[in-house]
Amino acid sequence: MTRVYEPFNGPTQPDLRTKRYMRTTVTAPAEPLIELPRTATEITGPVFGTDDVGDIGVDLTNGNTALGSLSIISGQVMDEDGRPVANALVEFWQANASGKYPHEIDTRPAPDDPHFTGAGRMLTDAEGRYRFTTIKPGAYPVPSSNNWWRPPHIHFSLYGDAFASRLVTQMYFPGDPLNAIDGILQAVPDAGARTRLIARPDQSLGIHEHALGYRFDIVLRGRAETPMAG
Amino acid sequence: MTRPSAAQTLGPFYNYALMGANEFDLTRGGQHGPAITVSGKLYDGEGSARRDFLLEWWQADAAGQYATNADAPFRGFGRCITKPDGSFTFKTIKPGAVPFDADQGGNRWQAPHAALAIFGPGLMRRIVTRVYFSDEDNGNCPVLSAVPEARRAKLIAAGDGSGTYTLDIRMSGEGETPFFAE
Repeated sequence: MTRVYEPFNGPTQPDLRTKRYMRTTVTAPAEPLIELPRTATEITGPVFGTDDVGDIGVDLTNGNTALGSLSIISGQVMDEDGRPVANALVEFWQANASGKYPHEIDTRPAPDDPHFTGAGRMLTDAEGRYRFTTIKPGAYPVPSSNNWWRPPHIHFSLYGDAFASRLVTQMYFPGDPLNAIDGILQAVPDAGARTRLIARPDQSLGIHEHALGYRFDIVLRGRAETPMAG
Repeated sequence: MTRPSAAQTLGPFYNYALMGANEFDLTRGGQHGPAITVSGKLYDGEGSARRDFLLEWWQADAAGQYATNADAPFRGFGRCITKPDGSFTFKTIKPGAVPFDADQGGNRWQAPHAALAIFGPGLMRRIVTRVYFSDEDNGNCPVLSAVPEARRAKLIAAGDGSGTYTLDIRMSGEGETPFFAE
């Protein structure tokens, strides 16, 4: 389907420079961004198949042996018209229940969890849906900050059907008091857009006496071209 | 109509999670054109080389066609994470020229190029740029022409005549790489 891509800026996207995340001042461009007409380069994008997904899987808990609150995360990936985006590559990763990542540069003295894989990946189905099993991650402190702790969150990387609609974002958990003071979530100016990054509890997704369910829908850039009048 | 979900920073702790993040060889599915490499270093606004930034590369094949399915001989997509010294390398083939306005009945062409997206800690959302090649005819590219003339050279990878190109990325400040609005 041919989609059109309107400018990505505005209050629903974070500013490249935010005072609350200090390192942005050395990584954000100082010069104005140059307007680029949408060309074949932007409206096309990589297409992924099941061979690309590999065997990393959608169970981050190693058969429910990881420590933490067992959770099913599921949702629908849609375009701006609410049409499902099928075959989108969805990648997700997060800290363990102690707020530690299985990454060499996360050297904070918090417990590792050898049963927690920390990452998964899948393609959305024909209805744009994804689903994986994990545990609720822990909060963790941001290095060199004034004791800023990131709220529990899950990182998401999505490739729909165009370079222009590429999205990397984070999902937050409802009701966490750290959400309101997080320098990264709060860098999104629009309150409604921030709310859409917070998952909703959904009992229909959970598993009785076993796992919580959270629903997290994602909207990728792009909408159908307006049909010509007449 | 619903506006797109808000982007959030990639953060620093992702390299074990992303598919092929350390596979910068776009020719791994077969050689479908003369091999080239594009290498450089990524610097921040203080001139420090930066590690753990994710670069995503998207290009057409040698005929200027973008891959449209996962079975295409040349997929056109690669990822690379900058090393502790800020360095990156993509091994690929030279893309062909790509139509600019053919869908509107025009006959203008974009010079051979790759789209390059940059994600990383301290970047609240991705920023995008392009990589052109010094041994191509870049003078008539309508996209490159939209870049202020004094800054165009920052988008053109310098070739040594044997398929090896170099281009550094400066994210902010002196000699800043031109970035495009999305």
